[in-house]
Amino acid sequence: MRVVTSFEISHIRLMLLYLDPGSGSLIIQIIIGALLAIGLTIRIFWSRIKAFFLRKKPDPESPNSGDTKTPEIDERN
Amino acid sequence: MNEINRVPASFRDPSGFVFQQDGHLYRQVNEGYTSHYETLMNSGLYASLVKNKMLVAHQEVAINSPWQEGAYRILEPTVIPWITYPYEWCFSQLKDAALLTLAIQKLAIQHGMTLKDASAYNIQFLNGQPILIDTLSFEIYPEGKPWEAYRQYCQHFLAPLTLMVYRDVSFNRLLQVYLDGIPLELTDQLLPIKAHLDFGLFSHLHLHARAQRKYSGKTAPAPRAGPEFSRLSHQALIENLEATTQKLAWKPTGSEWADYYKSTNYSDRSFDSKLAIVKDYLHQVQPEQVLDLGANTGIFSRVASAMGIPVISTDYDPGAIERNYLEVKQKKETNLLPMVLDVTNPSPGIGWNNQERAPFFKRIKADTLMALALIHHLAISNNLPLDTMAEFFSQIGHWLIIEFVPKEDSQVQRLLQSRRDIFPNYCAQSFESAFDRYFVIHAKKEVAESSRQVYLMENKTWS
Repeated sequence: MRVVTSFEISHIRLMLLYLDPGSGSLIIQIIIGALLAIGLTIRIFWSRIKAFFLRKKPDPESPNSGDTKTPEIDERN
Repeated sequence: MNEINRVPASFRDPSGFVFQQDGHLYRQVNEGYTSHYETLMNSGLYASLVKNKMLVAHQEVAINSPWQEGAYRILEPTVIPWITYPYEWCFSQLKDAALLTLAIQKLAIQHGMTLKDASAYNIQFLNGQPILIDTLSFEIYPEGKPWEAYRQYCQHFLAPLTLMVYRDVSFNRLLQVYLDGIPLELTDQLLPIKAHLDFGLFSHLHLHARAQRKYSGKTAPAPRAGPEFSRLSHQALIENLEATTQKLAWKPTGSEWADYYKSTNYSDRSFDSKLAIVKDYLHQVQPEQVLDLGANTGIFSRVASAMGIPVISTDYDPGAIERNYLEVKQKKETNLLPMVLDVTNPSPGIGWNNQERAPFFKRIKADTLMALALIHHLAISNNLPLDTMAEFFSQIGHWLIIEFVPKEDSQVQRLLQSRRDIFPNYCAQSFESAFDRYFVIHAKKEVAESSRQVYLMENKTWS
């Protein structure tokens, strides 16, 4: 069994990249994705904080100022 | 003699292509795609997609294709009986196709794969629901790389849907002009400023358009060492696209036809009588399929579909088709396909050699046609002579259930209100003699409490 060279890998990837994704599309996607990832991380983090406090005390603590929306992590499969 | 030909639309993807041989449809998988195909089949992704009816199932077949050199496998996929295109869909059909694409992408990521394209033409309707037909759309997830299909998703789905909501419901017709989706710069110019109020639309359409303009003609910067697009970013992006798409909602109002059944001169008795006539004719014909022209919200189409006959239910009003499709979903109907069609201007052949996407009447065939409450519109509003109409119908079907609406009828009076009556020949006798040239008139019944007649005709020129 021979090792696949990196040339072949890039050749295959180029072959599969038959679709032109567009340079601008890739760049903006990275930026938007990064922003949304921060938002997603905060939502996950916030829901863990809430879950932690709700578990510890029977009466939930008064919510902190700012975001009081319940984060909805969509776990559709 | 073997009839072998490559399907005209299937040529861009080096991973494989679709062809017809001896009346069967096959998909060739080329060698370069091997590792991706095996991952698709072995990772559990294929099984999961097929189980959830998100991808057409296929069989691997041991035949030789004329392009055997370079072939890895030949697949025989499930056949879609009727091919329809995104510019022929109503709003919710396009939206459901979009949401399916994203749902597939989420599932693919879970199995270590990704969609390499997000074209609306990869989705078809089967048994009432959207489904992915391009089995070779998947590739192994490239860690750290952004989603290649993002641009296509925005142009094929998000742009037309947004234009349909914020401007006019017919804007998906632009997909007929722009084969790779509506350009984002054009979309940007057409949308009102209030579309910017939605973060998703602002990012994926407006900022995206600006980025495209800025970087057009420039090559992408060389990939940095290390991942530039984390899985978390990818997941967040897909979820945001999903939420943004989900939020888009269109309500059909003000379209003259969606209110049609409220303001006609049908008494309940005439309505029931027409239903009974149509049912009786369908029992006599026992059609294999029905093409209903001018079906409005599909009430009479459902007489046929309730008998188990596959029906394609068309109308030129997108509002009526929207209601029709929502009813299909709500009742989980599996043999009714609604779509938008203007009989006087059906979808032409477009794309490469004007054959890539076939014209409507070459693509959609049925042995039985229904043309109820239609021909007075063709004759009066469109000035079509009865002879021309008869010739047209004789070219597209074997059996014809057709309604003649005479001048005395209030619907025709309404059409004549704003124009001169230049239709001296528009009468039942002329209608019958025009159609007699091509059809045998088997039956003619009057709709109760009206002057309308419904005919059952058989095409004597049909081979």
